[in-house]
Amino acid sequence: MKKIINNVENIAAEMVSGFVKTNPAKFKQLPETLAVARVDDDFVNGTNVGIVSGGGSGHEPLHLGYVGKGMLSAAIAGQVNTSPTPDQIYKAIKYADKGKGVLLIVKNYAGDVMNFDMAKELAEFDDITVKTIIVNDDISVEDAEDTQGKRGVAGTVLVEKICGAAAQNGMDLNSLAELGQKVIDNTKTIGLALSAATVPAVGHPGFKLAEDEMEYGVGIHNERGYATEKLAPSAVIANELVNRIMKAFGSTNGEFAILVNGLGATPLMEQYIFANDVVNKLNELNIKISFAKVGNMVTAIDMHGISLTITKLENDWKSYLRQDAQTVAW
Amino acid sequence: MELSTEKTIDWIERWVEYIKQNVTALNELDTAIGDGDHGTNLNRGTQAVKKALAEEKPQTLPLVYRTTAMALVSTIGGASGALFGTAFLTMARLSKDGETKLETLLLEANEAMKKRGKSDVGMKTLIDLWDPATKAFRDHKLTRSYIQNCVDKTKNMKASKGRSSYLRERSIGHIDPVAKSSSYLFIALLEVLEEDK
Repeated sequence: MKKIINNVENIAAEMVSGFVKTNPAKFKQLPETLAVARVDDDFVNGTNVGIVSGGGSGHEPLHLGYVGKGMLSAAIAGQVNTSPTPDQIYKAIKYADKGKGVLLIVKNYAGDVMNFDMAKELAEFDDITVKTIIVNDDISVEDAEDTQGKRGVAGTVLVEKICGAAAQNGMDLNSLAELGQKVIDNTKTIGLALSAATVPAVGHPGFKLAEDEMEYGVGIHNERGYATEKLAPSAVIANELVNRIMKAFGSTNGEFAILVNGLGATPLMEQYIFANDVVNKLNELNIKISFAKVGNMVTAIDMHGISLTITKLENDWKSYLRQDAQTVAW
Repeated sequence: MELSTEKTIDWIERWVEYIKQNVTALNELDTAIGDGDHGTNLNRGTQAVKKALAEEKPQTLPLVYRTTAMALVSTIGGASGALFGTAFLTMARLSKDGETKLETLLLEANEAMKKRGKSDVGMKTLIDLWDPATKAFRDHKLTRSYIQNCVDKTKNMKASKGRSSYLRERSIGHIDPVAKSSSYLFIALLEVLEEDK
């Protein structure tokens, strides 16, 4: 394993510290936490509903890169691939609350769900109104009763953008929770990997694929996917992902947003080639694309791979996506 | 039965020691069906418990449980931090409300964890240790071999909660690491009670 680090134990702490030190005018680190929070005047003097998210480290720029005007009020980092702790989430909620309550955006993993749940109880004890929405956009996993259910992956950033913009425009907590849930229901993602990520504490790739293999349906923590196949041209991969996602929607009517997301070690050159194929395929199917984004938005450490997210847009969602956001990474 | 504040600290510290002695074994169990760090994570949490108990010197039962809970939740992270934290926080709350029977505290801790994790017996989680063990303790039937038997039973279960649930059938054949780490808590309890006799 080769990584530019000092010590495996200090990865999350030193990353958060580096992020805040290089953006001192915009953010601060809440005391005794790995939480990054807004300090701009709009936030300090504002009265909007707070939006808080967080999760294990290794998916940067998620979540800290999306803290800022128009997106998150605060984000808490956990250790690599490990949920943040309730005491820290609670402190972020408390900081984000301006008397109008706080919306928690949580990815569907057992640890995240439980720790945010405990933090919510701690905050409610202080009479802060808190609502939680759970993102589960990864349709490569069945939503079966006998598993944890679908995972939260790249679609999370679209949920954060739409809810963040609506909160900035003054939407109340109940409406935000409803909006966020609707966006989650309308968002579907599938990822694929050419090689697995190396979790620093483990020291080697989480699984092995041959030189000429790729795997469809991987998660962002090296979770294995639904099929290992021979590496195919970008256009073939785009066909598979678009077809599978659009089949899950069942209808091509309406307007859609797309997110082509690099998983950490995928050159932007490859991401744009893949995006080109996705757009061509969608055009061929007469599907209207009203918003598109390409880049490393939700990563899996150093996984070489890509994910495609498609959201079926409703109401004002297009304008929420296009609205200005003053963050490091949107 | 009631356990004094002093004995409760002794019990928890013995659990802390068991975890320290079994970090590698717990990591190995977790490698099979998780991300291989349960021993390391729990040891970080239980060592924080040991430190907090030594520094804060809690004098009452609710404070002992509360100190333990807060040290666990604030240092472990992940699902196991939330679940162990919920167990001890429940015992803190109930003992503060005047409940002193250890049987009741443990049974309620088990119920609170089921609720927190939306889980029940048979899903290959720590509940497969806690549920039978707390009920056997209530019925004065808890023994080392019974505890071991509960741990072993998780081996042939198919996981249906948490990250290991995505492995489906492939999760069969491996002991649940958190049922194993929980078993040390009940073994430690038996030790403390035996010394009393």
